[in-house]
Amino acid sequence: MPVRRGHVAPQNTFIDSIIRKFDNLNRRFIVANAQVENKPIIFCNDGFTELLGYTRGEIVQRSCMCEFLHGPHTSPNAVAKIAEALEDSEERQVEIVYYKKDGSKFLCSQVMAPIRNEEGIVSMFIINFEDLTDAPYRDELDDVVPSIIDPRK
Amino acid sequence: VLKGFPECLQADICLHLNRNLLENTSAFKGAPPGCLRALSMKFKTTHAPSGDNLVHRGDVLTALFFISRGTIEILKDNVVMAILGKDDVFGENPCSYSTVGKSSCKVRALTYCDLHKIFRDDLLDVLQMYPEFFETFSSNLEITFNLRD
Repeated sequence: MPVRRGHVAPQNTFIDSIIRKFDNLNRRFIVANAQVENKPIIFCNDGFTELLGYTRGEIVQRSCMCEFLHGPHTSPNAVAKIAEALEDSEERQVEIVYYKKDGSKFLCSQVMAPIRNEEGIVSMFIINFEDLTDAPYRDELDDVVPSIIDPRK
Repeated sequence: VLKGFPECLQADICLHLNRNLLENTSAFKGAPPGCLRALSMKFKTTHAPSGDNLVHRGDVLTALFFISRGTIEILKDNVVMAILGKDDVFGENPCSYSTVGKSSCKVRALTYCDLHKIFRDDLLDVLQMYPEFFETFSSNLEITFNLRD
């Protein structure tokens, strides 16, 4: 059955293709709107909700700084590095202690990547979260990040 | 097609068609069987091709939508507020407000979507027949994105 094409902005179907590409790799990630002041989360995949224990409704629209994941052992230094990477639209990896909804904490390796639109403006961030107790996946991150920066690949 | 069948058969068919939705959505857990049958008669399945507008800004929120397939985007002044997909719910919780609200955002299908829709009035009518379930439903209903302005 042919799909009737409506007036969908290219950027937004692009978000959908990123999501689908990324989601196959068993990732836990969020997508945030970089063009709005507090950089709100516009999407989180099921892997992310599973890891943290929050529902999508509780997560969407919150800032991608994820203050709701912070707790007593969360290093302010790590938080500052994340804030800086988002401000400067830099690709960066940070290790930080986060707290799940049930209060348990875990060490997280967080990778942030800015996504530029056709005009070269940073329109979104993709932020991947890895629970460092799942050590075997660590090496795969190196393959994943470069390929999402340049969507033409 | 359904309208040609006797009512009890209609209810059974609807219950079957909407089974996935009713079984998997936590809001419906603990609903009396009669309530589930009545609700499943009121749900309508709709489809939207990519680019279709499901809700316009300012639209009265007469229905609650459950996404069973596909992704939708929610926009306010052309800014993407959220991207929702399978098992997500948008609209407003009809039990929480005495008056019906208006949508603060535009909702558009990003990819081809299958949706289950139920009108606020129909939902409230059924819930009023099962007052002991009303509270449970209202507090368990997870609206992924509340559209109310």
